[in-house]
Amino acid sequence: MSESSDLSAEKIRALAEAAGLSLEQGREAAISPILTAWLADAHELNRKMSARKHWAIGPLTVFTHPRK
Amino acid sequence: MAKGSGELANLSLAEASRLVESKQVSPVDLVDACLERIGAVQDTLKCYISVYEQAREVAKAAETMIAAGYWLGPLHGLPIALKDNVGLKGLRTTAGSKVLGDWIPEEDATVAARLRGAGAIFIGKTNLHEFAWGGTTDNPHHGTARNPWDTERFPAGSSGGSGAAVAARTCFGALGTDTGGSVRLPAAINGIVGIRPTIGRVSNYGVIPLAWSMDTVGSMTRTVEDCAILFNAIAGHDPRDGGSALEATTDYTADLEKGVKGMRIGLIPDYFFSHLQPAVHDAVRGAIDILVGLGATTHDVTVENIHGNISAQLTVESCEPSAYHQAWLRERPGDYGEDVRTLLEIGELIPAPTYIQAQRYRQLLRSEFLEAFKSVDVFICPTLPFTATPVGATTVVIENGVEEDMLSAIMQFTGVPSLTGMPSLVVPCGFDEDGLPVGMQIMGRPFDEATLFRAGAAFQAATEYHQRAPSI
Repeated sequence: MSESSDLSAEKIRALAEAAGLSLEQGREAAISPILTAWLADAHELNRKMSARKHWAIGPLTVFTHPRK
Repeated sequence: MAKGSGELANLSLAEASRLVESKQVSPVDLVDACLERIGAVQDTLKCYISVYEQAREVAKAAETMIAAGYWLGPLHGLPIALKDNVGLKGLRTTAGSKVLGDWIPEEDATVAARLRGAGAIFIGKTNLHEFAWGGTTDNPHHGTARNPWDTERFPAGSSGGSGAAVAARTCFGALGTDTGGSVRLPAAINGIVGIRPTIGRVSNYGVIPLAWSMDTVGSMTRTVEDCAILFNAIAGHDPRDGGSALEATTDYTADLEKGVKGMRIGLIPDYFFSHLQPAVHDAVRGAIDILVGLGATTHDVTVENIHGNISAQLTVESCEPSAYHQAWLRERPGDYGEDVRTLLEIGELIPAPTYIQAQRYRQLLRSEFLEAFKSVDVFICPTLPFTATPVGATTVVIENGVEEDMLSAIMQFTGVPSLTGMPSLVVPCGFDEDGLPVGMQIMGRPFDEATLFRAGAAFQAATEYHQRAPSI
């Protein structure tokens, strides 16, 4: 997927279908510009976090431990 | 001499509490004063979703108890408001939504139960951005909340109702919730004090979630002392909340008069002070100068990976709510407001590895701040880059006449504590040329809320910004 162009309505629909989300006609227009912008920044963060110097960092995950 | 209702409503929580304890003022008078204020401002401010006239009966019971010598503590008999995503047993809790418009919880949220046990009187449930997923409190189901300082402007959000309610003297304190800034932003925009606690410091049990890994409940008041008093009542481990911390609490009012001599204030100039409306810059810088005058020192700090925090926050804060709302979004999408529906749909479409990378970034950022806290005690920065915008605005001008998207701009500085789990206190520190409030954000080490309260109290002892009231 090109990061320099807005996600098309067809692509939005395909993503939604894969997510099991049925979008009403026209919803893509509201979603596309925001999602496109957010994903562009997110991909940049993905690249940063994929750098070798960060390989040892795991995700912030909370375990809840029951009291005995 | 008996105080009039206006004078009563203008008291701080601490002042009112002392008068109640000494039986100079009745809780009935406090409730009447608050209900009178609500009656005067609610049609304009839309800061409440539910108002509890039955609070008068509770106040009469509190008066009887106190007269008999059963004073429960500083919150006994004090009218307090709750954001309407905090469950109250037997009373409608809407989360600002149509989806939960008729929900009646079967039990109190833990924070509500603790306030009830402390003798607080619930005066009402405040308006919020729908499901807390937004920063304007422009609520399509319960009305557009407005800013008491200028009713053509927004009170921020999502706890905008609580922020406006406290600023407008309709209650002596309120609870809000803060995921990406939803206590801190309304606190700054409405000229009041608000705290986002360390993640896990205050129970989230019984509160409608937004993003589980970032949600907190915080106190919102007109003074730092009041905020610490209210925080004392709600902080602490809750076995019913799996994310609740076991770390011991303390008396958060104990250090309020200790001052800031020797306190090391960290500054990150290239991030927190580089893109601000001039009035915001000047107010926060001026506040730091005041603290330095009181004996604190400043230290420029570099946090290598601070850039990128907005993207991580948007990823986490969109994916997690979308998980919570999955069923409703499919069953009844039209019952959501347009903006929240769009955000929930977007959250469904962000790839899972992108979410995981954001969660890895949080670990990285947290480790960098914890390292920085070896050389400083607090960080101070603006809460947001601008003062209150007109109701309905989706863009904002910060510098050079350039319009920017408001959602991204509004969380520019609040994301750091949200992502790292650190506590953060907002304290009013000035006004712009239109008389709109500016609030500074004081960020601290995990579980070091006491230091934040100490710094905020020292600032308020030396300034009067918190004593100004809107004219509404």
